[in-house]
Amino acid sequence: MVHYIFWPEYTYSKELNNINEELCAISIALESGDQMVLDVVPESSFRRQGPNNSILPPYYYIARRRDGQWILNHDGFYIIRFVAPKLSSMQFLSLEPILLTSPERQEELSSSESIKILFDYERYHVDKARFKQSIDQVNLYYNYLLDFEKKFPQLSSTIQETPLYVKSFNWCKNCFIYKIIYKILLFISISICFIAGQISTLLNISFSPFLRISVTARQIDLRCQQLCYFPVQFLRINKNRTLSKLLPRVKDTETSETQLPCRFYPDYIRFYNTLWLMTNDISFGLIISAMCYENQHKLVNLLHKMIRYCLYDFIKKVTIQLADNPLGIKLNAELTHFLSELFLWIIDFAYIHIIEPLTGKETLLMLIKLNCYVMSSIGATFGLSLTVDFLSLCSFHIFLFYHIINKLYSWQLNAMTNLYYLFRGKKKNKLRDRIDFNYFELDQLLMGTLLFIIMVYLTPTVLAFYISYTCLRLCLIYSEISLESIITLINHFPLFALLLRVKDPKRLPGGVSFDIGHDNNGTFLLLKNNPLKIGMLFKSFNIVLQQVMNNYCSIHTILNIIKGNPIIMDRHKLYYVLYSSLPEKSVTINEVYEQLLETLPN
Amino acid sequence: MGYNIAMICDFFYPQLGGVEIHIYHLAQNLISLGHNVVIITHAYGNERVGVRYLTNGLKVYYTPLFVLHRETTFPSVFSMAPILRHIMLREKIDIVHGHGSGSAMAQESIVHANTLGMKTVFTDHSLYGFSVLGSILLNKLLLFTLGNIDRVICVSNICKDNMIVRANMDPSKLSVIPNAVISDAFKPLENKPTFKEKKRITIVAISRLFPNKGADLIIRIIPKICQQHPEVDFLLAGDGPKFVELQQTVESFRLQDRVTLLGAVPHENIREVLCKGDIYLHTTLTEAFGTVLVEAASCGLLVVTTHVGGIPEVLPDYMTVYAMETSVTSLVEATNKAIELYKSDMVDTSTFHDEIKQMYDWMDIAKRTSKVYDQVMREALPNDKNWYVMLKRVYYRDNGRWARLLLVLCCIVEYLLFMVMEFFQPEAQIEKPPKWPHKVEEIINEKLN
Amino acid sequence: MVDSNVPGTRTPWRRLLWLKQDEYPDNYTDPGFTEYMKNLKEIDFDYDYDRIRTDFLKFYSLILNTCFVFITFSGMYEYDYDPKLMSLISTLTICGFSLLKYHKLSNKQMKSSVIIIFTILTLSPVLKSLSQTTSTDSIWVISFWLTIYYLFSVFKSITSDSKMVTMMTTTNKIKKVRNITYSKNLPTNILLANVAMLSSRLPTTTHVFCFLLICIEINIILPKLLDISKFTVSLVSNLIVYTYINISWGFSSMIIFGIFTILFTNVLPRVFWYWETHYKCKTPEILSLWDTKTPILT
Repeated sequence: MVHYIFWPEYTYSKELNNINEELCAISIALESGDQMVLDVVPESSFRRQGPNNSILPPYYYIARRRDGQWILNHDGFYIIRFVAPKLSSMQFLSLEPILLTSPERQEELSSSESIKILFDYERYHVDKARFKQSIDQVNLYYNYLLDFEKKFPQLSSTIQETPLYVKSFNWCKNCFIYKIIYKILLFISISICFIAGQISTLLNISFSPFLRISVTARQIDLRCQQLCYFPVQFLRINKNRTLSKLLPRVKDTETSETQLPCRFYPDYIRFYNTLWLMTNDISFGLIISAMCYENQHKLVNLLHKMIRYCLYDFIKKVTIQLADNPLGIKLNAELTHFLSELFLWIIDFAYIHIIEPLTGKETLLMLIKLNCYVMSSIGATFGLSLTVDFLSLCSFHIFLFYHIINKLYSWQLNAMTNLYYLFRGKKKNKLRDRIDFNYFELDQLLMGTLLFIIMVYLTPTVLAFYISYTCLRLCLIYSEISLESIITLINHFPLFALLLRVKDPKRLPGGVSFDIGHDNNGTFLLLKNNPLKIGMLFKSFNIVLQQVMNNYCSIHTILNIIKGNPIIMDRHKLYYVLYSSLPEKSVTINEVYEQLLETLPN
Repeated sequence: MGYNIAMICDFFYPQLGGVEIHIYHLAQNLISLGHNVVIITHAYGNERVGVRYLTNGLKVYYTPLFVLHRETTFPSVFSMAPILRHIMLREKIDIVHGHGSGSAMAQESIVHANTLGMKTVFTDHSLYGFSVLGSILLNKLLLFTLGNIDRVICVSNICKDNMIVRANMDPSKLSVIPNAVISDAFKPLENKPTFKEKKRITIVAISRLFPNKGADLIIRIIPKICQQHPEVDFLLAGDGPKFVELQQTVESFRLQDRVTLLGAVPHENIREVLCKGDIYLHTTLTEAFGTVLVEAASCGLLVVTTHVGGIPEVLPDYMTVYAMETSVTSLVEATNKAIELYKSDMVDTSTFHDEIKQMYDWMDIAKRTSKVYDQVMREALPNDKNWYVMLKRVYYRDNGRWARLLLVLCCIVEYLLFMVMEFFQPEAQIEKPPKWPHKVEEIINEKLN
Repeated sequence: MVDSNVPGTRTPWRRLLWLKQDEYPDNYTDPGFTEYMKNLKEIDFDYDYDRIRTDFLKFYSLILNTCFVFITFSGMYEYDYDPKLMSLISTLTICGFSLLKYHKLSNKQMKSSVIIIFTILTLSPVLKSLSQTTSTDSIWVISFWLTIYYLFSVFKSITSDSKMVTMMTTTNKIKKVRNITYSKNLPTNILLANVAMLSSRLPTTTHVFCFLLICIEINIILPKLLDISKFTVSLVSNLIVYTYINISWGFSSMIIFGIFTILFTNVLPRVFWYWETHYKCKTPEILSLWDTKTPILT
């Protein structure tokens, strides 16, 4: 087995400073990890410390420098150099890419089934555990160093003083007014959380249809859930701060992963990302509402004309056209007559009861004003989702058309396939779920054939209606989806993470890599952090985009349309992935409250 | 020492059929004879793409090509040229060995290899008729691709006769080298109960239930045999379009207790299925070789089979009972005879395994194939792969006025294409990877022998 | 070809794979095979003239049978014959034939005929309206092509039927029907499609009902009861068709039709046979050696 020594670049400057002196390197090794050099000290001061055995495990005297050349005390070690991440500025190394989604949701997002199987093989586990341990050690390098310096003050060169601003902050914390303000803020936030949680549970009652049909309800639910989750996130981040003070205890060798502070950094990123997005949302809302408010009369006129034309005149025209041998195709007169009568009746009904009252100029003006008000007070997303809901309400008759004709078409298709089986001497065996051979009597055959012929002759008629209404429905779905995608962008854009990636890539580790380096001591490996790829930040967006493409504009869609399967707009399934920064179950307020109380300064 | 050989076929692992297994075992044994073998096939699924190493450094290239139908790549004359050229040059191939006339990739690669001046060998695994449109087209294609081939290997004599007529080949360029089986993987059960002990007979049939595999026959035989012999059970493995019909027959005759339908069985479990039976029933209507017959005999089963294709060449007469016609009556008669033989203990099936072991061995097959390679290298004329010579040969192969011009045009385009590719990616610039080191002891053994 | 000259000292080569024949190289070719291939090319295949002739006759009687659809149709459409009378005549004929064949009508047959009649009765108004909007000319054209398609599909089903006859006698009853159903049902479908097309031109629903009934009786049930290529049946249909042509298109058309008939039933089969034996490429017959064998299901 090969042994490695992790050697920080931090000591490099020290080595340069004392270029002529003889140095020795002190390392630390925990039970299952590799050796990690903590510091280099001049040999002279090391001798002053006393005999060699004064350095006890877990500390080791690992190498010495003679004439500018490092000599390892044991053979068979390879050197890996690293730049120690500063945990205090939230830098860290990690083998797996940092999770920007909530961990419990991560399982569902991981893509490939076979990769999972591969990971289950034992041989992929063994060495990784050790490496992981070493990486954890590297992450805690500065903490170990601090601890070491405390233990052997005579060996260390620098002694840190607590900076002044920390002191004053600590004093402030103990102040009385601070406590009161803190308490008031806590109660306000808890009550907001409580209300938000109640609304969210109300919306999520299993039989309530709100979330399925209304975009606004979804938006409210999302915002409530975010609000509910804030204290939890806040707690986690805070705990991380308090933990980092307690950590550097070397005797506590089992520094398990759960205790590492870097585990809560994703929470930090998510928390601020959400906050930032909310602020953005409101500022967008202010801009848009101001614009709308200024041009409200023009807007009303335009909308009035457009909605009337698109949702009433145009559709009526299409339906009448369909009844009148469209494109010269001779359709069955009776059936077309019946269908167009039916649809015209629905159109008129919808016009009288939905479109006319909703798109009157006064109503429109009122709605726009309401929209502006909502946008400027709680955010652009709410205004947009209200618009989407308004659109789907106004186009209710198209929804009806589509489902009626889809049902008709799929019935007909089903009947035709079954009659086709009959006519090939087969029949479907529901019991065994297979297609059996069967002998039919002459009368059965004749009857089946007659029905089949009738169906075949009626197909073009139904198909003409089906295709035109499906196109209409698709157009509507596309417009709704494009509006909704703007909403999702505002809601879920990884703005904070993106900025972090630009500012300090070390805070977003996406794995590690090794480079080969050379110096006068020979060849060494250089441990490097691979920052998270930009694509990974947008992973959930990509998934949603792919789902939308798959569901609504692909060969799969066309096949579904031909097969007569209804195109369903299941928003929950579609945007499910985007909720990945939220926990699956809503948080219980009581627990949060108690935990928050604990953080109260005494 | 050994040659650098590229085996090219559309069909390879993870798909498991006769051709796939043939390629794998041949390659493994050629490697232990000291050759370097790479296999080139198309990508399977989204994940099996790129280069993989199998046992003993058998390198497999899964090339990302468009799969048309039933794991066959899209047949076009030139589309695979760049990638195949790159791999062949990269691996410094001496001999390109294509498998299966149903594989577009194998045929195309032979054309490209000829253009690159490599030696080419082709193995045909199946018989093709002349009355179906598909096979007529395939034969025309073969006429073109095998125009400049150095040697063709057929798996049986009937396959060779077929090839002579189909591709209008010089018979001396055709070798017959059969398939083999790993006899150790098809051992009979130890202390298998005799008929006197168990009082029942199990007839096994393993066949993909396609019409050309005689599925219609087997569907009609089963009720008859079951009616005539109450002590006979059936065990059927294999799936296919006729499966439902078979199932329905079993149900309508109420034979569920006596006829077991296993559906598709993976190849590694075939032995297990075979060992449960006493008689093997094969009703195929066409067969080039019939590996499964050898496997059944190796497991100590008496074989009842139709007398078609290469089957009469495969097993000695005392191991088989032939049905001379492909008719239900004839097959029922043959089965009755086999049941009689088995009951009366007239055939000693226990010796079958060792005899088969002597007859069919992959090492022997690999040595014979290696001999073919030697001949190809030895008998090669210096201007054999000259473009002009090859063009002339192609021109005189087909008698059709238009076909001949079309083929020549194809050749010219091919040569131009290779000139263009040589310009953009000269051979010298293609990186040559090191070959997998051979096991030392094997090489020493080879030298000692 | 050094290897084909087998010296007498060697054991003769055998066409076996399991036998290790090391003294022969792998590319050894049996000289017998080349001989065999040479001989094969010189054999003349003798085709059965009688079979060709009967096939042609069968096709001819099919054409006659199909003509009845149009005779019935034009009888209603152009000459305004009473559809009820026509359907009564044909129904009685059918009843008579089935009585002759089965001696007494069974309960089951009664049931199925009642079902058919009521189905037709309910569906005839729908059938009438199905292609109402299509122009008359297009209906003639579509009907023409449907008839051509019908003729060929029926012919195909009849020829595949004759293959099945042998197996009908021996094998179990359930299975034999399976293979035929597909080829049997396709012509029925085409015929009914054709009838549905034509019936939109008929004046009343009663006409449609009678037209459909007559067509089903003559084109679907009658061929089941009788062999339509039998001499007497053929004679009767010939008589009716010729009379119709004489009445509607005139005597000269009938003569032309007659000449065509003679050409089709007597000259064409001869020509076809001559072509098959002397000019057709023989390779398929020779090469069927390697083709997949046809299963004999008895």
